[in-house]
Amino acid sequence: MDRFVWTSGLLEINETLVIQQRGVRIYDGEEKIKFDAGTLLLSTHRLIWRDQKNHECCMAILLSQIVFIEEQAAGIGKSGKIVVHLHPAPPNKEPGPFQSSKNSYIKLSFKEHGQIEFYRRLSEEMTQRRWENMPVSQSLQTNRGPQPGRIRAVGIVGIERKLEEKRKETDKNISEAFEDLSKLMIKAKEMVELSKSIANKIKDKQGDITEDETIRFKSYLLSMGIANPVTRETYGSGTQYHMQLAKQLAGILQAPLEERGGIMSLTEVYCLVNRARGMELLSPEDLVNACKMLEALKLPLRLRVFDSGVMVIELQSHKEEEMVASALETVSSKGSLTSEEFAKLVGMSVLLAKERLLLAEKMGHLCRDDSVEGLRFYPNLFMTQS
Amino acid sequence: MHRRGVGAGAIAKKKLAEAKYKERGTVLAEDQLAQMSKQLDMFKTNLEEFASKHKQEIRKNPEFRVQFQDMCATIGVDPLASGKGFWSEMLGVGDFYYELGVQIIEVCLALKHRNGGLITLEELHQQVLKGRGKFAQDVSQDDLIRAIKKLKALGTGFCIIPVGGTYLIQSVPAELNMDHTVVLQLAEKNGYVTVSEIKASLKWETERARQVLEHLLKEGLAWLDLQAPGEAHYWLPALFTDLYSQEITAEEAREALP
Repeated sequence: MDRFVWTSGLLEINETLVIQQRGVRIYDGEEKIKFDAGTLLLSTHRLIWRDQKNHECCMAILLSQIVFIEEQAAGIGKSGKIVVHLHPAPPNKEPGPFQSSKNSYIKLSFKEHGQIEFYRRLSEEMTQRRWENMPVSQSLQTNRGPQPGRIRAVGIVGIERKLEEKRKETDKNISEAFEDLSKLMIKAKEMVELSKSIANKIKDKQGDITEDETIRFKSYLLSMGIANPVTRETYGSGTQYHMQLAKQLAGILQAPLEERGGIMSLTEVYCLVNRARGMELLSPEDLVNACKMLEALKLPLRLRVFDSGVMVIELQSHKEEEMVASALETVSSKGSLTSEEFAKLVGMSVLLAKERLLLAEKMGHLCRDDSVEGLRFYPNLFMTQS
Repeated sequence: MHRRGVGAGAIAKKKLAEAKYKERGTVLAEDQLAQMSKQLDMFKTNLEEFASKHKQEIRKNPEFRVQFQDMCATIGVDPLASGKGFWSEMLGVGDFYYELGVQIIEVCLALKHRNGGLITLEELHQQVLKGRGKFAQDVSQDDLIRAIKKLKALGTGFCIIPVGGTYLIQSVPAELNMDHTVVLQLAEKNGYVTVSEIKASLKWETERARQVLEHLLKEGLAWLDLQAPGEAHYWLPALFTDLYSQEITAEEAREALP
C-alpha cells in the first residue's frame, strides 16, 4: 500500500482512460483498510482510485510498478478480486496514503462486479505497455526530473471538458432512451387493456365469435407478447405461425433424429435448431407450442412428455416401448447398469438413457437399487422367476 | 286483439330480436378486433421508431435491459414469449436472450459431470463470457437469470435457487427442498460440510442431516471424502473456486451436446 501516491485524478496529456468501475475496495495485502468504496480507473499509464464519498481522496499507482496480476473469482458472499503484485516503491516517491507497508501486493475487491472486464483490460494494458510509447509529464515517471507539474496545466482543462461532455452525452442518450421507452410502454399498455376488453367480450358471447376471429386475436396477442387473458397461455396453440413452424421442424429434424436413434430431448432440439438458424431464433415457448401441434398436423414426429417432466421429440416410427425390450437385454447382459453406464454403452445422452430405464422399470422389466452410490437397474427377477 | 308478448307471433319476434342481438355481439367483437388491428399497426410503427433510435442501447446496456424488462412486466407484456413477437423482431431482444439460452445449456452440460448439474451464477457467468469471446456484447447476471427463466419451458429442469446473496443454478431435474438448500448455503464457506457442522449450526438431528447429505450424494451434487481428518467431509463441486479458472472452450461445450 505504500506504492500509492496522492493525485488529483485528472488525466495527463497522452494519458487515456481505458475503463472505470464503481464499488471497488482496496486491501493492503490481506488486510482491509479504510478505502472501502471507490471508483477504480484504469488509464494507459496508471491505476487510479477515487473515494466515492470524498472525491478529494484520490490516489494512484503507475502501471509500470505492477509486476503481475491475478484474478480471484467471485463466490457466494465473496466479491471477485484482482490481486496486484508490485515492485518496491522508488525512494523519491511522492507522498501517498501509507508511508510504509509490509505487503508487496494489494487486492482490489469488486463489490459491484465488473471484475472480469477490468482484469481483461488491465492485462491488455500490461501487455501493450502503452505508457512506454506515450510520454506524459515528468511527474508521472518514477525517475522524476526536477520540474514536477510544469506540463500539467496545459490541455488538462480541455481533456476534462471532453470527458464531461462525453458523460453528459451518454447521460442525455440514456435519459432520452428512458423517456422514449416510457412513452412506448404507455402505448403498449393501451394494447393490453384493449386485448382484455376483447377477451371479455369473447367470454361473454361464447360461440359467437368465429374461428377466424379467434385465430386473428391470438396472432395479435402473439405479436404483442400478451398472455391470452382467457386461457392464460401466452397465446396458446393454434396460431398460423406455430403451424408453419411445426412443419418446418418436421423437415429439419428428420435426419438428426435418425442419427440419434429416433429420439431427442427438447433441449437438444432447441440448441440444434437455433444454432442452425443463427438469426431470428425461436423462443423456448415457440418451440414447445409448435411441437404440441406435431401430432395434430399428422407430421412424422411427435412430442412426448415423460413422468419426470422431461420433454422429447420422437419419430412417429420410434417405439420407445420396443427400445425398452432391447434395454432389458443390455442390462441383463451386464448384470446391472446405472444410467451413465447404459448411456455410454448405447451411445445416447444420460438424460434419455435414464428415461428409458425408468420406463422399463415402469413396465416391470427392471428393478432399481437406490443407494448413495447411485441409481442402478437390475432385470426384474420377480417377474421372470415366479 | 292487441296483446303484447304472448303468442306465436311474439315468440317469433323475440327470437328475431335475440338473433339480432347476437349478431350485434359478433359485430361488436369484429369492430374491436378491427380497432386492435389498426392500433397494432400504429404500435408497430412506434416500436420501429424506438428501435431505430435505441436498439443499440438495449444491446449494449445491461441496465437499460433491466429497465425495459421491468416495464414490460409491469404492464403485462412478455417481450421474450415469442421470436415472432414485435419486441423480438424489431428490438432484437429475442435473439439476444434465446442465444444466451443456448450458451447456458452448453455450459451446464459441459460441466455436469463435475458438479452434478448445480452451478453458481458467478461461475456460469464467467464460463458464458469466456464462451462468447472478446468481441461479444456484455452479458449481466440479470440477463442470465431471465434467459434461464425462459428455458424452463423446455422441461429441462432448469431451476434458480437463492442461496445467501446470490443464486445456484440447477440444470438437471433433481428435487431440492428447503433442507437441501440450507445445507448448500452452509457448505458455501468451505466448499464442504460435515454432519457435526450441520448439527451445530442448524440444530438438526443426525438422521435429518444424514438424509439430506445422502440425497445430495445420490444426485451427484456432493462428493464423499472419507479420508478427511476427523469425520467424513461432503464436498460440493459447484462451490469449488479453483474450478472457476479452468477453460471450457466453446468447441468443448458444443461437443458436450450428444
